[in-house]
Amino acid sequence: MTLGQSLSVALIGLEGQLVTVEVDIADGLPGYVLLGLPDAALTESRDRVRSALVNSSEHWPNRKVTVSLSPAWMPKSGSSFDLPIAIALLSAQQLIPTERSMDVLYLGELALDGHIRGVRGVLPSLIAAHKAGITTAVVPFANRIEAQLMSEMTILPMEHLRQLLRWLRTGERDEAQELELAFEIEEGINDFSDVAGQDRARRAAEVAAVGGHHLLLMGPPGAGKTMIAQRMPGILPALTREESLEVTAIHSIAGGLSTRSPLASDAPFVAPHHSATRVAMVGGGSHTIRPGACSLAHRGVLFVDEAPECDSGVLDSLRQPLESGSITIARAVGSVSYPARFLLVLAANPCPCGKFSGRGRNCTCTSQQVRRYLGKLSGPLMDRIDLRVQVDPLSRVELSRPELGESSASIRRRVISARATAAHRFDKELWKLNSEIPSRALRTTYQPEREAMNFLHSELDRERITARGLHKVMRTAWSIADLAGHIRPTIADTQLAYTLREGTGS
Amino acid sequence: MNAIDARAILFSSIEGGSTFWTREIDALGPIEVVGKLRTKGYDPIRFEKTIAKASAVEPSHVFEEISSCGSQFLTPEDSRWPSKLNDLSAMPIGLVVKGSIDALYLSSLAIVGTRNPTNYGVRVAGDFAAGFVDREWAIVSGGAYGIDAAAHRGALVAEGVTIAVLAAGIDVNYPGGHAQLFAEIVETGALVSEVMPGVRAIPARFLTRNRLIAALSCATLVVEAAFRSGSLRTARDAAELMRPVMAIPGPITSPTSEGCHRLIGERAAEVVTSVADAVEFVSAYR
Repeated sequence: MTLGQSLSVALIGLEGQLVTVEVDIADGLPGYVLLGLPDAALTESRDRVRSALVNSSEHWPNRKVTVSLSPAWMPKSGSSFDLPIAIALLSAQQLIPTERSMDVLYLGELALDGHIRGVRGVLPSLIAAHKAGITTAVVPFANRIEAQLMSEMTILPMEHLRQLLRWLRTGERDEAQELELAFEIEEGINDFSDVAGQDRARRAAEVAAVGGHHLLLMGPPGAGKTMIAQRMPGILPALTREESLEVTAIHSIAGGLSTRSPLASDAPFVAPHHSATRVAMVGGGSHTIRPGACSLAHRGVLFVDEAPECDSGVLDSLRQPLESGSITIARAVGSVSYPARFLLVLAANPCPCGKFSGRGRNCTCTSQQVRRYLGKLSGPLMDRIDLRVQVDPLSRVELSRPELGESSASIRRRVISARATAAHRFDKELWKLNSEIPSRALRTTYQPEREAMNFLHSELDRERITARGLHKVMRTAWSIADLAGHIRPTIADTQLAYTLREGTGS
Repeated sequence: MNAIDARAILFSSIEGGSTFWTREIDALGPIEVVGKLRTKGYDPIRFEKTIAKASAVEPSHVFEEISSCGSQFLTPEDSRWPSKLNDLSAMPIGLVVKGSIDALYLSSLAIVGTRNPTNYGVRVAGDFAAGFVDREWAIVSGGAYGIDAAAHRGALVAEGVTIAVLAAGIDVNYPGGHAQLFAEIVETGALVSEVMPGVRAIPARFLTRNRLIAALSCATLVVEAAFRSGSLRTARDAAELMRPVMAIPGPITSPTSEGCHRLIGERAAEVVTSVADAVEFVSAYR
């Protein structure tokens, strides 16, 4: 028989599709044809596979070789097909027994000397294979940690083609040392106890973490806006295994863009620079559609420092994910959806030069510059921001206070218990977080106490708040009530929610 | 040529806020001044542009231009001229008024402040405007972004009369975002401008406009102003007219309250902390 087969996975976004790699070796002029809409990296696989085979003392057939990747209509990209092509080539020549090589998933790029190199998107590929009923997968050694997350499958990390062929021919395998599969909990790096003072901003961060409310921190440079934002993941509840799989899968596709440890259970923290483009923010690309910052921040925190400096349209591109929790990107190669349910933290200076605080005499900005600068933050995006907090420069008393602030761990404990209260309340509902309560429910089942409603309605009558703002305040009030252990938001909870939204008062 | 025709000629050829021309018109009367201008009785080099304009302009065109944008030309000869303006050392030659001229007679409070206020300033400006409207005062301001707009809106919410004194021509919607606000103001109150329709706002006109805000109102309230702020000019203008000036204090850490604190520190303004305080303080000047 001159036909060989192996299995691999092609990814479109996070969705994987099982791909059968078929190799036919026929008589004719020596040549090599690759079918199935390969991209440039995949077309080059011929030379990598040939060198890898020859340098592993295997035979390269000097005949007409046809390689087909099916389903043929689907565009395929990347170097992870090197390994399955090599296996199918060898099995077409009956150089390896088929009983073991069948029904195994192969992922990996080949080096010219036969080493197997790491590739992107291993975890989502494994998830897709598992759904298709595959139980065993050969992955590059470099991707082993990420692959082990898929504990339902037998994972065989391989370093070299020769090692793989030995296993296929004899069933022998160097036992890889067992990996510790405990989730790493990074502690003490970014702790809230480092933040001196800033009680108000800390409070807002806590409320944001409880209800998933988006947050704007406004204040002069050096007041601690970035510090507070960086510490947000530390007070969010740890990711569950499903969430962690989901997050790691996205980061796996992003590949080198992300340095997140596959086993981290902390919520991700992504801070794109304010010069980021729209594509960097929401994802895109021409051959493969990669996830952007907002998807990398899925189930975590997306922090945009100096938000008014962002190009127009970049911040607005976040509106769809803020609304739907996912982002759909359409390109010539197809349309892809990535999840993007994140907590948005924006930071802004009081004016372009940043000196308009205190007595403000050093500020050199004109009124129009300030207006234009802050105007970038207005409109539909700001409508989705529930909390707006003024972060004042540290006072001398705050700076010289010897005791540390409250630690992330103890804030996180409160957040977790408040979230549990909310989850219990929303048991029969479609949503889990206070920020997701629909307006209709706010008008009926989830109204704050009567006294609080009277307060809100009087603010509405005086046109100090819009109807939409009213609902935002009610949602925040629920988070504050959950933290305080109130069954229903009281007038005090509601007033605090109101001042946290307005950014003024105390 | 009657006095009003003469004023129309002078109005369209002389930039507002000049004490020299006010003195001349006071001494000679507007008809004489036009005659002297046209016969080059003034320094022909120094007043070159004014003379050229005054010689070319036709009063009927001026009236036509003003009435074509739905407004009226008001001069001191007119019985409806608000006498409050006569205290000014640089009294305007005339005014373009759109809306209700009667609004100009009401006891009025000027509310001025920064174009980039904090929420605190917006709230206080709105509350004071509404509070004074409830006591049948009119609110005068400059129609700009920020405190000005908050004051106008506060007066409108309380269904009161409000007057916007503009630095640009009456038909120029400056700032651009306030076309709707101006339309609402005209319904019960008035828009006032010291320049011909179509003239653009330049920085110097904001300062000359500020003296009109001070003169058209019985008292001036500064809500939020930075250390350097045009609203401090209005406060000084009001003080020169011997009209009461009030300022709202803010947090000492807030740069937008710096100007108010400066006025208070220099004893140039009275501290007010509530509408009732302010009403009591100004009622003597009503």
